[in-house]
Amino acid sequence: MEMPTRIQKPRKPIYPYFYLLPGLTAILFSIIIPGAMTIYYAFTNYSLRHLQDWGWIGWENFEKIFVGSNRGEFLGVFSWNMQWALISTIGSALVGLILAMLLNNKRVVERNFYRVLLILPWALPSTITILTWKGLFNSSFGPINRMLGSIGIAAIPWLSNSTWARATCLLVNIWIGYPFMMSAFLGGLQSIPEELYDACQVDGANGWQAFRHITLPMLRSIVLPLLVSGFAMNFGNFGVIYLLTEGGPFKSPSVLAGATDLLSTYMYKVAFGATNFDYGLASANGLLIFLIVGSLTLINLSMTGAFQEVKE
Amino acid sequence: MFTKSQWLRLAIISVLIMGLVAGCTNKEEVKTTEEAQVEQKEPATLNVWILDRVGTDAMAAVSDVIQAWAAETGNTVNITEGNQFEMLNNIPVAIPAGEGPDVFMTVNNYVGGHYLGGLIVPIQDSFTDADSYIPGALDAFTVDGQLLGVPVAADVNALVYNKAKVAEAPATMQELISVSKELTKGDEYGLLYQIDSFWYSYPFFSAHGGYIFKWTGSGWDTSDLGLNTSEGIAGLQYIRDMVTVENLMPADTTWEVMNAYFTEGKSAMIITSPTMIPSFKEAGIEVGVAPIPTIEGVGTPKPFATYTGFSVSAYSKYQEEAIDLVQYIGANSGKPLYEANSGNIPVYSSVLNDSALSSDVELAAWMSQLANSDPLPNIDAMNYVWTPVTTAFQTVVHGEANAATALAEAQELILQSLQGITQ
Repeated sequence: MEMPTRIQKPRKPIYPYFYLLPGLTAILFSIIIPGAMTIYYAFTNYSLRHLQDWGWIGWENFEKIFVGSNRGEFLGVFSWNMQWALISTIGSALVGLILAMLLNNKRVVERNFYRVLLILPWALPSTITILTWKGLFNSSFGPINRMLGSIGIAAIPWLSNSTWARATCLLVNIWIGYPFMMSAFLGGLQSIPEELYDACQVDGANGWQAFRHITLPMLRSIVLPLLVSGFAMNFGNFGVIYLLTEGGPFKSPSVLAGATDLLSTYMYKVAFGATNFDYGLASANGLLIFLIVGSLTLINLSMTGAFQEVKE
Repeated sequence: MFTKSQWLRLAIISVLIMGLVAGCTNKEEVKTTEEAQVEQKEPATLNVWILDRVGTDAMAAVSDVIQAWAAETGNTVNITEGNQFEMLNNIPVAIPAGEGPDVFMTVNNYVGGHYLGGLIVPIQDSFTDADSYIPGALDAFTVDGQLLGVPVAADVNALVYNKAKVAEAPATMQELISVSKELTKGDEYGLLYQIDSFWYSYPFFSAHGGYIFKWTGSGWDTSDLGLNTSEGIAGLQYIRDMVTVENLMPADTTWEVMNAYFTEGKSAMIITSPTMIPSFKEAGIEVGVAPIPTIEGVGTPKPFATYTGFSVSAYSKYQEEAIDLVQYIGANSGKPLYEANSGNIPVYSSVLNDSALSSDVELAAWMSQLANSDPLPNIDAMNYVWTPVTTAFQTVVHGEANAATALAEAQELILQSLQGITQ
């Protein structure tokens, strides 16, 4: 009889890499090289002033962002950016959840009709809807203030007062963001077996208890990844602010940032505002945003366990 | 680790990759020798970029002018059309990489930056046509005494009025304000424009003697700011008074509101650029154009003007031909550009003598406003001006700050930022 051969460690074959080569090449050229170049440029003075003689300048770009000629505007913008991302994400999730539960109620006969209406903000091109909101919210000419005026409410400075402008921007962003959350929740709600609710009724639970102990836990695995990625997406939002307020209204003393400027619109002004092309500074800003979003996402993921595989 | 056949595969792949890399470098070598040969031959091949800024029809018109030059001189021209912002964003990257144009359409506020970056060349030494341009047009392309481009069209704001409501344009601002007050009632306005905007309200600021940077005759003096001066403060107060004292219009009138109200016939006079005129006419408004009237006892309002023109790349191998081409475009494209799109105000003075245009009263009005205008500073220091000055204008017009404090703060911030970038 032969000696039982030792179980060989399975060899790592090379050919899978060969099959992966096209994909890996694409990743190399579209993600790894540009990413590495951004990190490199962040430490250089590559800009319109130094197109030929650009070189390594160490941490100077980061100094400029935190203390230098931009006078620490970054921190103010950053704190508003955090509030913006948090409120937008939670707000659109809440609105989405409430609407999804209403639509999921079988006693609402015409719910398909409502569903179409409610999904519209998602279906319409946001460039157009944002500009429409801008017109609606104008405090002297906008229909919203005219309507309020006709019932005796004084004109609200929707976009011209910095606190109101922030609230208005959030409102518009939540309006744009809720249909996605709503559809996701609706899918989640429909996958919860009816029997659970029947059993729960038999046990004498009230509506809130059913929501708290059945609906919420069952939705958890759907909601958490959405919240985490929604936060990351809202954090880097550009279009809403750029189109709605262009970062304004402006308050003294501001060198570049207005009251509603987010990091992305601020970075755009720093790097490409007017005719200033400061690629180095823009890369430094981009790197910072990447680090912030990246680390916040990591923290979110580990705290919520959103993307953990379900253990058997 | 690897079996024999796997090593073989790896070897084949690496040979393939090396071949690919080698192939690339070979190609480049071949290209440069080809280029060297071309250089010895006489007819040049120029790459020209033109921008949608002038309008689609006008892009075709200027292409015809460029091709006419090519036919006359026997050179070849390759024209690329594109979006203004995309193309101008590509210039600083494409030109040093050798993929840029020899000649490109540009806007005067870009030339300062392009010159700093060594992207474009001064052309005054071989420029023979300087007297043919209206005053100010060439200044707009001048930085440190160097002429960096040839203007082909201008854009400026002037007074646009509805003839059904105001038969004649007012001769003075005093008259304009009293006419405007009579017409303002309910949801109708006499004068209506984006009054809290630095861009649109600048004419009244400049009429009082306010300015951003001092023009020295050959360039901008960035250490001499004209915001926090008694003239500048008086200018901003005048603008605020139109809202708070004369009640002509709400402080937060936007550009969209202005256009909508003028199109619906609900405002008699607006301050705008020639681009919007065709759509007003389409809506059935009887449009009149006039220079912004002078403020009696104070001065003449001077709006900002921006100029579209052509610059020559510093990396072009055909400098002589390129400069010849931009001069040719400057001298020949004024009329076709204007005829294709009336937003392009000609800057070549003989164009107005053309029989087809000499009776064009609107054009005459735009050009007389252009004669009373300040070129938008063409240096990159402007990047640090917009936000502080916008802040000052917005807060003062909205009644949140007084003019003296707001302008002092703005000036201080701008000077601080400029110290930061010029090190």
